[in-house]
Amino acid sequence: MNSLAVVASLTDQPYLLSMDQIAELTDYQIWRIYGKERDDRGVPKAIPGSLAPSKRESGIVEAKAKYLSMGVALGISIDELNAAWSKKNGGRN
Amino acid sequence: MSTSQSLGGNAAPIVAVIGDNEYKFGLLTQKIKSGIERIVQSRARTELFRDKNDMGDEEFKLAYGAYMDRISSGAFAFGGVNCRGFLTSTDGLANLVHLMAGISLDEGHRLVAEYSEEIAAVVGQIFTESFRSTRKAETPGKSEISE
Repeated sequence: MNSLAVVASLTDQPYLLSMDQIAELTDYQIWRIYGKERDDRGVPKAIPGSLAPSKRESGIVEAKAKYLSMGVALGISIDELNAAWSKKNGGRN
Repeated sequence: MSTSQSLGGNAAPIVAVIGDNEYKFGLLTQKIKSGIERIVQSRARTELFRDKNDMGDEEFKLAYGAYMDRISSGAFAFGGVNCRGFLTSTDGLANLVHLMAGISLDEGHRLVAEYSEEIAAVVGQIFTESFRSTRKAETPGKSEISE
């Protein structure tokens, strides 16, 4: 892509950058951040690893979901379950 | 990856102590790249006008037209042969330092002449952070937050 096309795409939807703003960007920012890969519908794909939770975090979320559903099934209120979870995990929700 | 690397030209500048002074270097933004292109264009124009007296009017008109055509066709674009040749020269490097550090051209020449190793290291870092192709491959699945 030539520089004219690059600038034109940045001034257009969805970025709507001004010329001054584009002038302050590096090539890396333009290609890797603004120009990141999109799927077939034009939605930007996530940058690998950038916001995805770690395996450990995913495991904790899954464990808490199981704990809450089991607790609710036993008739314990959500507030009580959350408080107990927090106490068991050193204040972490 | 650090916040500074992701923010690139919009992050805090790279601070380097060279000699007894502290210099703040910005990254190679589109503005700086354009600045280098303008310098290369201007030098070509200066050379053309220097030879003007040795040419007839018609010959100069043709040469000037060719010069303008070269501008239109992107012959002086950053990354092209002309710019690459310029940046590998001492003068080109001094101009780059002048634009990135916001110092005078004379000061840029002095730094390049007296502290070539330090300048090479800073410019190398700046190029690495400014361009996609010079970065290390980013490993898919590896958390960037923790880096």
